[in-house]
Amino acid sequence: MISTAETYKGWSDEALAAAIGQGKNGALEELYFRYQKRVQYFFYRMLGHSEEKANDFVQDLFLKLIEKPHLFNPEKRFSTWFFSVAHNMCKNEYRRLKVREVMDPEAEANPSTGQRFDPAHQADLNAFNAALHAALDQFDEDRKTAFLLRHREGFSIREISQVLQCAEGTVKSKLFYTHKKLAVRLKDFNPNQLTSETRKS
Amino acid sequence: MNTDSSAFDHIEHLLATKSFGELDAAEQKLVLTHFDSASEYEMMRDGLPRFDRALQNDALDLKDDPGTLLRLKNRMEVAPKSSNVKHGSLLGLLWGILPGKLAGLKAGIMAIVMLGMVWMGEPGVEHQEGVWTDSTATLSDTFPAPFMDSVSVGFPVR
Repeated sequence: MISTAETYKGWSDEALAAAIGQGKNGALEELYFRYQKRVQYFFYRMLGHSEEKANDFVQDLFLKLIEKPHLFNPEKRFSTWFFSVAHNMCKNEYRRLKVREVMDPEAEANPSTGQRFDPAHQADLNAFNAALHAALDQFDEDRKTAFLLRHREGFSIREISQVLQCAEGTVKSKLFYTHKKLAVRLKDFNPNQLTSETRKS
Repeated sequence: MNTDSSAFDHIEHLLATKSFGELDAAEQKLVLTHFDSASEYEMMRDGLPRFDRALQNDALDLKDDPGTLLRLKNRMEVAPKSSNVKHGSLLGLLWGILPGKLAGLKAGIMAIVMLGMVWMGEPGVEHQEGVWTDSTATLSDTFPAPFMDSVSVGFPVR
């Protein structure tokens, strides 16, 4: 029987993943449609903002699903598992890059460190976004993943703890200190900064 | 860890609901154990919704690689299935055990087997070349029953 993505429109992610394990082509197409952009964004933001690398990682991630479907437990939530695999791929890539960095310390230097921004751009979302991601790039992969999953994907603390394989309290701590540092680093974008300073004194 | 965890929950709630000036004395004390100053608290209070907005509206113009889905589907097409393995492996076995002088008969058997495979015609068989995974195949699994009968009369292959 020919199965198209249309056949699988109403299926849950978990059921689609199970169908992929049974060789259902249409299930793959539907799941790809649902997740391709999300994981592409994740890889892009996690891996040095390289579109080409992000696309390669997206393909590898789906290949893992096709070649090792048994690794997914259908009783678990698919999105959590899928981003866990994506996160692990990023960790491996970070390790690889760190080896390269040791060999060539100049190679991965972040040009945005200590950068100040023109207050005239405060209202510009694009400028804020660029600054946010430049600041985010200075955190380790766990903190970046936690931040992206929380604010982009809307994952709960529990789901993030499953992705990072750590306690929920640890996730809260990671997020709290990431937020705190980001808020300080991006204070030039805070239109209420002067008011706050006045209130403090 | 539990204490910290609940403290983070409490602070998150305060950040979402109250400015520093609106906190009571106990809340201010708690907040200042986690922030260096009131202004830092206010900065984070301002920052959190901005982070959400920034990421939610981060419409990157990332292009999809149109070949990716096709490559993935092709990879799926060649996922292992065992049916054709039985045909291939047992055909080779049968070919090997028949003596060379029965070349004509071998050719006849080959033709019959090939016809049988076409007749059985399982979908996806053409994609499964070279995959040898099924060690449980038997002759009766592989060949149609009439063919098995004819073989067992002349050649003790069982």
